Amino acid sequence: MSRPGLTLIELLVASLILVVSLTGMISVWAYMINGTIITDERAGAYECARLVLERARSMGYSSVIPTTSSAPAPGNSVSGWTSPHLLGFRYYDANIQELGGGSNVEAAALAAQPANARYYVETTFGYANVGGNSRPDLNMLGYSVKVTEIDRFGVIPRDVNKRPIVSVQLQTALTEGGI
Amino acid sequence: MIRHKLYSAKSAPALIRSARPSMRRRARQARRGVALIYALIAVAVLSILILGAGRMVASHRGVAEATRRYAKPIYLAEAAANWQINQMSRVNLPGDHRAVPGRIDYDNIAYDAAHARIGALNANDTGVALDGTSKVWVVSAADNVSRWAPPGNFALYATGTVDGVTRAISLYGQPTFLSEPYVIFGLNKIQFTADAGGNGCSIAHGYIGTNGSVERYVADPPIVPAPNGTFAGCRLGGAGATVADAASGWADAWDVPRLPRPVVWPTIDDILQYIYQGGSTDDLHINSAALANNDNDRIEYMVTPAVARPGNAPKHGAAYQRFAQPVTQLTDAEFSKSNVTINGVPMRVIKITARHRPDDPDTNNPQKNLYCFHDIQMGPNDVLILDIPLTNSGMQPIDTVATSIRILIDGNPEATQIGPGGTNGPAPILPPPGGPSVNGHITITNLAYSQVVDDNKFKVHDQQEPGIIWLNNTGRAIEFSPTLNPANVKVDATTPGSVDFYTVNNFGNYTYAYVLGPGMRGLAYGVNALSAPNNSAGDIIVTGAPNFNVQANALIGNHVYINGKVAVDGRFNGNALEPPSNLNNYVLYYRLSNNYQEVEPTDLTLPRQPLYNYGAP
Repeated sequence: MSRPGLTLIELLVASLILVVSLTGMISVWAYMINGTIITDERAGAYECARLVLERARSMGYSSVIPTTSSAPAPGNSVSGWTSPHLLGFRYYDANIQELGGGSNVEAAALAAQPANARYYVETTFGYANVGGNSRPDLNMLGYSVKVTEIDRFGVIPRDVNKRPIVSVQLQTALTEGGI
Repeated sequence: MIRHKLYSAKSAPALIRSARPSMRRRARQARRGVALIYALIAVAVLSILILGAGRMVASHRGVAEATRRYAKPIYLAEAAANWQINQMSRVNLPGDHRAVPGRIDYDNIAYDAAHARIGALNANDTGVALDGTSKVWVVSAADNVSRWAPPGNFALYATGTVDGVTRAISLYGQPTFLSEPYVIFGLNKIQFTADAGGNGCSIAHGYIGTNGSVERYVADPPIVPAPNGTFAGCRLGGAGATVADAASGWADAWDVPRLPRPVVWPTIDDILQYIYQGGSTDDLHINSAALANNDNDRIEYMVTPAVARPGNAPKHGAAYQRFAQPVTQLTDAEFSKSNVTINGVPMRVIKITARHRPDDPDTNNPQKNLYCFHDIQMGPNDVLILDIPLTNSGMQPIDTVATSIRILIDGNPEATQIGPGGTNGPAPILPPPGGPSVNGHITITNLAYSQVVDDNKFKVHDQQEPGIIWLNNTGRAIEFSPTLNPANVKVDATTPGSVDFYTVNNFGNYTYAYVLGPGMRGLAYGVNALSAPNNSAGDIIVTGAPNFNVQANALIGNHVYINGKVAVDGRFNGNALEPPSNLNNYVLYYRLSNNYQEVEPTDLTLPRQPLYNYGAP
């Protein structure tokens, strides 16, 4: 009498094991997928930061000196490689392509956030007046690029101080004749 | 129970029948727990797959994280290298007795690994506080060990450490002198004007540039790149700079990048402060109570010309005489002391000779070859010899280390003088000459330079380097317009009977001689304010001649005018205009030259093994 019942119990136990295991695995799987997405997005954020920083470096100290970072010309909200207008705030999509809507004014940039923006890039620079008034060309220019990942709903995550939560930050300093 | 009964039947068929359920039973017994095993196997397989995928995800994340972590220290190391280059660009010369405003003490330079600058780069250093700590130092490029001394080439090492990751770089660098960035630069304007025959300016080696406008007049072509040269085009400094009439296509072949801000140049005051290390204006002014501070032993006029040289016959150099009174200007009054005839051409010749280091070190040469004049007015038959002893080691007893001649034209209280301290500008560095102010152009006509002739091979053996800087610190334009055809008065070893400006130095089969340019060698510099007004202060004019080629090297001033056929070349015989051996040459800034490498951080002492070479071999 018990022999057929044993099979049923086996099936039940096996099923239970499978269900529990698969549930756990699916959770792990989802966690991994999510982790991969986060990693990819973080890698994208790093690429954005590197792109902007390398652009500044490639233009050199004399081209990105702070006084040149004025408001972009009309129609030039997407800064070009040869443009002196290195925007303070700008957007990139998931393919690391720069989008319109950038500005040197944060409020203006936030108001013009493109729908497909995935990364919000804030560029700040500081000007150490070490060269003195007689040699303004011999100053140091500190350069910092912060990237915030925009979530799938198009929201820029913010901390308690209402500042964008920075995923990646890269910094360097430039001078005349330097790297 | 029923089956049991059936099994108890002894009939053979029944036994046979009973055997089948028994086999099934054994088979069923054999399968007992199989489902569980299968489930466990499935779980195990899936777990392995999950673990594998998890491993891949972790690896992916690890690589991405490492990429980010390893990027930061290399950027910090480069920032530290830039900081060090900036320090070097602002360093005072070794042995300074006074600091130059805006520059830093040479002893603060981190000159070897043991004295490296270590720590964070804060906002005072770089404008933005940078995360992490850095270490940087510089040594001489000659041996990678000894202390670097300006203006020498250097090797620089820097490390950056952020979040526990350290990366290091090394690079080589060199100075950038005044005449290197541009062959012609006009703060407000560069103007090319062709002559009546349509001949214009040719340019080789270097950029032209302006913060104002580049203009042309009369006929095409007012400017053409020289054959076999490397004219690099035009740089426009700032949004307001223009190339006039560019739509007509005359600048089509040029590379014309626009810089986002006007180009900044040091003023003549800055340059003299660098040379004199803080003592320029005041010291010159005080010393000029003895009239100009010139080394009058080195200013002479020709009294007897050289004799004709028939072939390889013995040579007799010209005779020169020192002035009885200190010389503070080069005008008709001074040139009239000389009255000689060479090749049938009446001439008036004055010679200025640079002191040189081996027998006259800096301590005995406080003037540092600076000659100050209130005015220079040369006539059509006047010749000014600028003698910088040659460097060729085989030409003993000739100098082994050449040095520069600096000619400062200053002292006229012109209404157009610019900058603070006057109606429109600073007081002149030198006091006024006491007479009436001089108006009109500072006129320079015929210049001659030294060279060595091989008497046996009948050719020029060595030429003087163009280590000359003309500093026009007046409110007037300086005009270079040669009048004597060098073909009439030249070193021509192949033509017996030709006449040179011989010196008395004859040695072996070589002759030390002077020859007419006809070029303005070296650098003519007229920037006496960071933002020159639109007047004639610091202007430079070069005018070509119809029968011979007029040359210039580097011209930097408020306005630069090129009239007629003039060849402008930012190099001389392929070399830089300012000899790097001269410690007191003004360095605009130091720069990365080559061999930018990432190096092993733990092996920065010796030997230094490059990991990756991004630069030239």
